[in-house]
Amino acid sequence: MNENMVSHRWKPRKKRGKTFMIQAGLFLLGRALEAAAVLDKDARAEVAKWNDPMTIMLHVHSQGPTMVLKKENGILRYAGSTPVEADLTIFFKNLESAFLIFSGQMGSPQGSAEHRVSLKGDASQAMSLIRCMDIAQAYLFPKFIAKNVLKSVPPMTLKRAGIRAAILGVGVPVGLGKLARLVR
Amino acid sequence: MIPSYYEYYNPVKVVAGNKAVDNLPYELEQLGAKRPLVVTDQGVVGAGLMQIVADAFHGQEAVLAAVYEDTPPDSSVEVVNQVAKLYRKNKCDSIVGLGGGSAIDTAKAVNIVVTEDVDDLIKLMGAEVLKKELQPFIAIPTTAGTGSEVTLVAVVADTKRGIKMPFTSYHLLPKVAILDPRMTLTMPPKITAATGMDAMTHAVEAYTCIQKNPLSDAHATAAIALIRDNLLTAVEKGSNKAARFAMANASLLAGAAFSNAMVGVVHALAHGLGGVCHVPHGVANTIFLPFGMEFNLDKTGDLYGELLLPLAGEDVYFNTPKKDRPARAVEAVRDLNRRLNKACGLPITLKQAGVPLDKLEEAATAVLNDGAVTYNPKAVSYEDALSIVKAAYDWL
Ligand SMILES: [Fe+2]
Repeated sequence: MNENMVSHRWKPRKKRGKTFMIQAGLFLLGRALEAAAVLDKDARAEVAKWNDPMTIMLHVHSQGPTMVLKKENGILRYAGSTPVEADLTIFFKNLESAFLIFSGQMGSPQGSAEHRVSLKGDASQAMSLIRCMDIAQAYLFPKFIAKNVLKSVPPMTLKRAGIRAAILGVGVPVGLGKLARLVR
Repeated sequence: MIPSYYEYYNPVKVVAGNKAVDNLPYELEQLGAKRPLVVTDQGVVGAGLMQIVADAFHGQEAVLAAVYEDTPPDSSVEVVNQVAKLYRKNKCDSIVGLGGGSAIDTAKAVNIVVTEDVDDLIKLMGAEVLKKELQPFIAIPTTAGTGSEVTLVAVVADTKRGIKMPFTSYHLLPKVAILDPRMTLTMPPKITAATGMDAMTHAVEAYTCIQKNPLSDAHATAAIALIRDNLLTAVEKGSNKAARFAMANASLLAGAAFSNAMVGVVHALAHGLGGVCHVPHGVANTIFLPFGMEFNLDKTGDLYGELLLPLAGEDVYFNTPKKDRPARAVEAVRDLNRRLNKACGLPITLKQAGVPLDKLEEAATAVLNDGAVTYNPKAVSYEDALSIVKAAYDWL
């Protein structure tokens, strides 16, 4: 056999930059969801309807970045990046597919339409989760990106600007679920 | 326009036409199977269709190992488990779904249970989670509309938890779909009309949803033209074999289209209403299709304009100015609805379908949790859903 055809010559190149961006995106989204579930009326109503306790995972197949969300005692929390057995799991088929979504090039409906994500668990609860992610993304993304990834973007009112400031200023760095629990 | 990325999958062998059912034992053998379990319902048995299937096994090595005759209109987990038991007890090696959407969906779900060997179907719920190759499975539709013979979905009700569980997996696709004109000849006019409009809705939504692609488009437009030319004939003159066979083909084409392009707001509305008020799926689609099109008009008007050709034919298409075609397409669907209503009493308003006024809010809430909303070209809010449901209540 020709030496050049030996398969071990071919190693996949590491995608460190993209992996990091997705990890960061998952963290941002997780904390933003946690905060939106406290501050945004619609997100709060959605989360209230979920099972309690409930574990949700967003995961890049098969050994990629992960984000875990936990709802316990009515409070939604970002719960780290270690894969777990979850009640509801949204898989991204691979790193490139996840990157398209987390870099704001494509929204979750388009991601579904292009078969870039798959789901394990109750589809109607997944719909509710996706609505919450849309709400969180509308706060996270500047309008010119939100316009591309969301089917409709809510107009920026004073109240929404306040919530956005709280999500970015406190929710993402500290975690609002934690605070909400302390207040109780 | 070709999307920047798409997937298309339809590995189903189609065996269609005169005496096609008699090829069933041969097709089973090709799949290495000799002891099929047939999943069907009382309506099919009563219409003498099961006998036609049984007759096909005369002089064949393959035998009918078991027949389940009692699939209800809305299949449930209990039924699926019962049929799976029958399968194991009779050492079956393959499954045949014979009937409408419910029998074929039940057969698909049984296939999951006997392959994965699980005690509770709910553990396998989700999209694209099944990994194993399933048992050989052949579908023989006896209605012309659901397209289940070429779709990757099975919907089963969990009566205890009060939810409908959708399973989607490429493994659920039948190996063979058999279309035999004899199988749909006895379908009553109203069911013919309702299931035919379900197929129409599959095709129209597949053509306009965000997952559309060149292959699904080709199937969708072909289906619409066949329905335009044959549905009324099949309703008014049920014994017309050519019209029946054309509708069976239209149903399969529309099924292949929406299995790969998905459906949108009309199906979300139909599922929402079906869950709350038990309006038959085809009837709900009939009622909502023109309203769903109207709702999407500002987003996908151009696509509806293109559909005017298969919907209304060349004369109408070329005599309608381009800017008027989208609205004219909606009108073509309304017109077909009215004619079907006149021909067989098919309900075309929610009031005619017996929906109580005080259930509309509940139905609108259910719409939003339906996966089909994801694929609709336009975002759907609770207010949107409610206003469509209200508009469809009594528009005549
Ligand atoms: Fe349908």
